[in-house]
Amino acid sequence: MFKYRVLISVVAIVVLVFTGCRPAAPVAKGEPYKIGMTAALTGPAAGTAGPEAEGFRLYMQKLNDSGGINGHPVELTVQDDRGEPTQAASNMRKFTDQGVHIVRNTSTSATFAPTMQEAKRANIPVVFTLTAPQEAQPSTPDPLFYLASHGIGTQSIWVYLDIMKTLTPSPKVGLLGLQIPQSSLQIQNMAKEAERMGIPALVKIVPADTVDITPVAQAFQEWGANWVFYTGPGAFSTMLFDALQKAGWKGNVLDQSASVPFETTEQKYKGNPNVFVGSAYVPFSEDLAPHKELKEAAQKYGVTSVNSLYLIGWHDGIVFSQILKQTGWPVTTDKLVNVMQNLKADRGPVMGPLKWTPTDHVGNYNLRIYKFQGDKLVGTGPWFVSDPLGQNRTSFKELKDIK
Amino acid sequence: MPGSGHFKTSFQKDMAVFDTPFRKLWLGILLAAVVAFPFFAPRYYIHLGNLVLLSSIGALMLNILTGYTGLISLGHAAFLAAGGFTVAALVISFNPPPPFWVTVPVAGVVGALLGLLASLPALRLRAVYLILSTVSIHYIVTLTVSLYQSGAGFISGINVPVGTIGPLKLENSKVWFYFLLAVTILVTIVCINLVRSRIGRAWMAIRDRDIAAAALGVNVAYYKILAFTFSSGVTAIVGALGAYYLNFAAAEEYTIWVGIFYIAMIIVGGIGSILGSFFGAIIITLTPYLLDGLFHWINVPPRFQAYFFAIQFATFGLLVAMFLILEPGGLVALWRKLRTYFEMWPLKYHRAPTTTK
Amino acid sequence: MAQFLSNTMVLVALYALLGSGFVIVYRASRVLNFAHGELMMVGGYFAFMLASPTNGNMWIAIPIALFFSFAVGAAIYFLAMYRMIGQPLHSAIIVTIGLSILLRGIATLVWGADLRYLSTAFNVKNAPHLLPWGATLATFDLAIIGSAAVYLIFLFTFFQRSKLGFRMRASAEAPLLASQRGINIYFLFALSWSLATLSASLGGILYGANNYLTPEIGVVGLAAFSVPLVGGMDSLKGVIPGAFLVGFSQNIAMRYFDPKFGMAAPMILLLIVLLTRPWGFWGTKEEIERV
Repeated sequence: MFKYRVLISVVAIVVLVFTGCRPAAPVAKGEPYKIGMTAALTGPAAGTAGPEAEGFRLYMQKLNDSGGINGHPVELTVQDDRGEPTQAASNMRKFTDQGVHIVRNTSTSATFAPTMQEAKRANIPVVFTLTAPQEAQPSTPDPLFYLASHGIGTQSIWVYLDIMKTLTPSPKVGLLGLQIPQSSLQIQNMAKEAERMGIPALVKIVPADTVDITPVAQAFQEWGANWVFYTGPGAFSTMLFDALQKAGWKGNVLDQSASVPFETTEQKYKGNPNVFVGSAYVPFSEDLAPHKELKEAAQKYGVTSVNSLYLIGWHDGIVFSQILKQTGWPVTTDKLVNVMQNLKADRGPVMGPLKWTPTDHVGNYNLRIYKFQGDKLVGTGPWFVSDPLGQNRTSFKELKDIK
Repeated sequence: MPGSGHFKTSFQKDMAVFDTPFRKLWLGILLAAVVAFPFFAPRYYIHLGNLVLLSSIGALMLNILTGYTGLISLGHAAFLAAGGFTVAALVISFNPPPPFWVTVPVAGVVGALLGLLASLPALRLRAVYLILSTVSIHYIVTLTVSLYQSGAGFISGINVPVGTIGPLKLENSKVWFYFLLAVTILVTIVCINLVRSRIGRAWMAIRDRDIAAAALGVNVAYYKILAFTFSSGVTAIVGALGAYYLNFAAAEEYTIWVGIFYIAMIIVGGIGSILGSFFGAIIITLTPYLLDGLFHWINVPPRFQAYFFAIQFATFGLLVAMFLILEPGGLVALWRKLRTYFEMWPLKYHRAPTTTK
Repeated sequence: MAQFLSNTMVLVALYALLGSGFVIVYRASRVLNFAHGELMMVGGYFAFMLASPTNGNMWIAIPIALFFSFAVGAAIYFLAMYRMIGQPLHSAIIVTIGLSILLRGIATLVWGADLRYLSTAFNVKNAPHLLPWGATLATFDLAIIGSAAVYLIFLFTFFQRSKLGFRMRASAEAPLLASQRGINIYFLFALSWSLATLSASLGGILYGANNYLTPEIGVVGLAAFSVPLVGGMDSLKGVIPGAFLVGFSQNIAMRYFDPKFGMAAPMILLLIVLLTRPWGFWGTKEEIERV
């Protein structure tokens, strides 16, 4: 019977260790605003989704400690879904049982369908992170679904191609995508757009569990690409670029700062003139007020290090707090949807303002190109602003001019 | 049991599954509890119950294949995927979409055919190599399914409408619970009787020593194919029901881990035992949620919240590994030991009935 | 073409290094070690962890990391696999699966899910080198090929020439007889596990330096699984041709067919092998009867 004692003691120790811990009482009193967040905190997408979720949580904690919204505290429930559909479905049901008012989805596109199913059934709005399903895209979005922070979207693709055209006279682009919906679809859209713009493009879609990217790199190199671009989760952008550089390729990579954190790219490619990073937010290096706030909050709540991905979560937190503030109390879905359909949220100097309209639930897309000056990535050129439907293509507006 | 005063006075009584009045009583209590469950439980728990019921049938089928026939299969997810996607394909290819009571049986047939194909390597291979052939079948099927999904243009999965059987709309968690309960009970009864029948004995003979079974006149190939076909067909039905329950079918859902978890279910529960399938399904399906509840209840300070889920994940692996190291017979072995303990109490052992002095 | 061959050789070398670990463990414990990928990942993280204490000195950090992994391998044997002796095959396999989940969880817990680059941690630039036959490979590419070659040569000489290697082969083949001859078979089995973990860690460190490190890179180890299956689960000789077959089929599919089938190509190869020569091209035929 010895082994049973071992089993039981292990379980008992685990329980006792954690029983000693108790949370601090929240500062604000009263009925809470309830937010549910389903995120891929473990699993393949955790590198990206984890920090984004964490940034959001930090903001909510700071909010609670400074009195909540409209005098009510915010109750944030975080659930891990590992990027799996069934887990997301269970999480959503847990949220609806708890009576959350609004949900944030920071996970892979595999979780979109179950999230939306349950949200529609329970009539709860959902705000997605970085990519949004078709149901949230303009021009006929579902009133319940929104996108607050941007990765690449259908309407912003032309910006990347435009940049490549500006920086190199005759670009030939190698497009890499993963064999998962959010990636392959956007890469294929980008290829179509490139064709429209007269830029030759070669598309390669690889499995999500690819071990060795060198054959694809070689294909791009032999085809004569002088730019490569990747969109999707994970570090494939740098893996591809590394493979190409190892083979002596002299072309450029346009990296999206949403998959790999800005700081990691900066540290890895110190001074490499072929690396360009497209960022939708002002990075930590410029040390504006929100950056300082985030760092303070991180230190206060015991997060050891922050990178730019935390910024995304933090600013989504700002958006949520403005939504809830404008909705007031008590909260109903109708009131929330009303506010969200006409939202003008000021996200501060790091991400610029966010505007939602009844036909546009994703807002405009901001992008600035960063390239190396010495060892640091420095912004080059002004901010591109892409309008929601990608039709008005005047670029080059200063960030503070965005209305 | 010797000296219990309970005698079996007819052949029927001897063959009954629940022979003693004691067992019948406990069965009745169990059934009553399960039937009453949805009335007391919050919706989230009913949802978990549905997940458990679905995976129990799947585990039961895998136990038939692996536990009773000895054909170890890691490709279980392939059959679930086949079921789910047959439903999805039917639903999007025809307008109006075919009804529930058509798509699900068709999914079962597709699964059975797939099982027939999958059984062919089993006729030549054993143990390790059989496992590997099932793994490659898994990858082939999931690749096909994911190509279908992206080919049909569905980004995040194919939406499946609500299933209706006549006037009954399978929409509510409660309704699903009773429906799945009925299906589970039906399948269990079939399995219990199968296992006690000639077919079941043939399967067990193949599992134990197939060469000897062949020597005794058992048509090994036939029974192996039967095992695969039957278990895959019903598993495909589970996949189809799952698609209707969640109202969508997504290729990302059917990873190799699903197959691995099902094997874990029957091993942790007790291989070669119907009761074990249920134990295993309950434990493996619910443990992540139990750990989640435990961690939330313990109120870990926000500092550690970020580590929550990694800890849960790690603890799950630890529990599975530790459990197998300490009790390789699975939960059923534990259960039997427990039962024997209570039956013997306050004595610790009894003298063997046949004595040789 | 020369470039393609050189790149594929790097993959082949990595697969050979990882595949050898599977074979060694299989010969000792007769189990498919699903945790091999995770052991690779943990080894990489050990090196990462040692980067700052050793001031980025790779030549000190890597041997220490390898030593740790050697110890971890022995620990795994004594804590887990030793107790599974006599248990059916599937139980042992599930234990390794549980172990892999545990290791992944611990890695995410201790080191986080963020991307890490070992080359940056050790301040070694992964610079390209032009080779005499016209291809270009990077520093760590060459390191992978070199280490795999050295390690495999070491394994061969160890098993063929040294007394200890002889005893290991004996206890793998006929444990009862070996133990009756006075060989401490449990110690040797633990040694097998340690060796396998060592090779996995080496692979992980090199992969982390050449590519990147996240808790999910265990999938590389799983992809390397096909190598012993093709070459023969109990055959070290078969690891090299197995690695060639798997590596080339994968890269040819990625380069000349559709990249989507890149990872499926080894699976198809595996299926062909299973249907024709299930014990692998170089495995012992009796293996299949014995199980």
